[in-house]
Amino acid sequence: MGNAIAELRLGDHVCLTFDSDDERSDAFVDFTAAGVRGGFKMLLFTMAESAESMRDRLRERVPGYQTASARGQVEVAAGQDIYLAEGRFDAERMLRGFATAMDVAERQGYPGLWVTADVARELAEKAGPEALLAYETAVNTLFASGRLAAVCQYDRRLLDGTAMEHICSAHPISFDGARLRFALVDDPPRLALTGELDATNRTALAALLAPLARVPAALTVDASGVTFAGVESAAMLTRLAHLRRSFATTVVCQPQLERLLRLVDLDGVTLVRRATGGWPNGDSADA
Amino acid sequence: MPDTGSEVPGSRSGTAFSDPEPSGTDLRGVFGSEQITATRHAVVAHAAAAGLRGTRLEDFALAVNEMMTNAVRHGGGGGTLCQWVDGLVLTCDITDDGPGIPAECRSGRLPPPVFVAHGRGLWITRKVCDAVVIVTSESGTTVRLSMALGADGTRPVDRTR
Repeated sequence: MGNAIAELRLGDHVCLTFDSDDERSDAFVDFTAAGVRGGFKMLLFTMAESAESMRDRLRERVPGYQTASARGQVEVAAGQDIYLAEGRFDAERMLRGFATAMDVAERQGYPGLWVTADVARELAEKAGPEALLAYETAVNTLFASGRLAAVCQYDRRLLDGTAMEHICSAHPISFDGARLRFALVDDPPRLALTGELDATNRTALAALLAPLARVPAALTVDASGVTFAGVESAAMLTRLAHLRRSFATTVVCQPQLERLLRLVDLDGVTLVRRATGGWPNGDSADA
Repeated sequence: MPDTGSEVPGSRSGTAFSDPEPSGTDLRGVFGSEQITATRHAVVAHAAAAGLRGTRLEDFALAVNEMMTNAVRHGGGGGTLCQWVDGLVLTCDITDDGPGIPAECRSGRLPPPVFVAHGRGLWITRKVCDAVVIVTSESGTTVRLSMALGADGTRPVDRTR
């Protein structure tokens, strides 16, 4: 449980599932302890447990919490007031709120913003699994600038297995799953991917690639840090190249993904370059 | 063409294949959607220890990943995996309790269209493994993947594509 939190970096969007209240409490404690050590601005939205009770717990268990809280580094709020403001869940409002909070943290001089929240019964029921999936998918774009890290805590007891699996897959990182880190640069357009691409983060990858179909310029997907790619992820990259056929799409990658792309992209629309040892295969996919 | 394997009709119920000889070095496990990544890591470590190397190890990891993904998606949410070495052959059985693989997908001889992001797993698996055998029985589907282990981790006999 501690791993994803102990290794949390700016840009990470993590799904953490729990089966017991103790696991949830521990996650809040570990998160806060790591954030205090790292000097990040932290927002904790607690839903299953009251904000008062959470503050007591943190005071008791997290070294340096009192000081960090007094100077405004850690803020604890009831999740209901944030996610269910005005009595309903509104993904757009959440995205705007996080964008503002990132700017505030930056102005206050913090290296970045860390957010964690638990999804309790009220939110699971009022929003429903489809809205939560859409929200977790859309929120990925906020992480591309590397100023935000979030740990989304889901209570398995509240969602069925299929819904939970879909929601997990919208997170680039899940506790037991593959870990994908990414960065996006606008000019020239370039998406950098690091880690593993498999079914456990497929929806997150799709969310990162979808807006790139509309970029009216040559695009580089630097996947040289991808150590494993499943067939579906290669097919998504190929599909992107086909959707934006008027402009070049180059994938820079290791031999594993290179071979896979050549197998999947029978038309050779995706330009493939090998990441290691210069450009031994030239510029074209027509090997 | 690499070996495209063969299908065994589902005439038997219960265990799809005869069990491998029990050995302390077998890899066995149950997987659901959340265990795909960790199980793949274990498969790679086991296969590397057995002597599979380089491109063939990467291909094997891909094949096992695709068959586990299929089992999760179409085979009732998960399955079991068993991997072992017999002589110079590494074998991995991936078993689910789903309804089986449709006949038109099973042959795997034609690639699915470009715009279908899923459904190519078996096609690719057949391209990269030395042998693929599928058994569908009343209790589920087992996909058996085999790779020959050469002295240096390469295939003992040259393969032609």
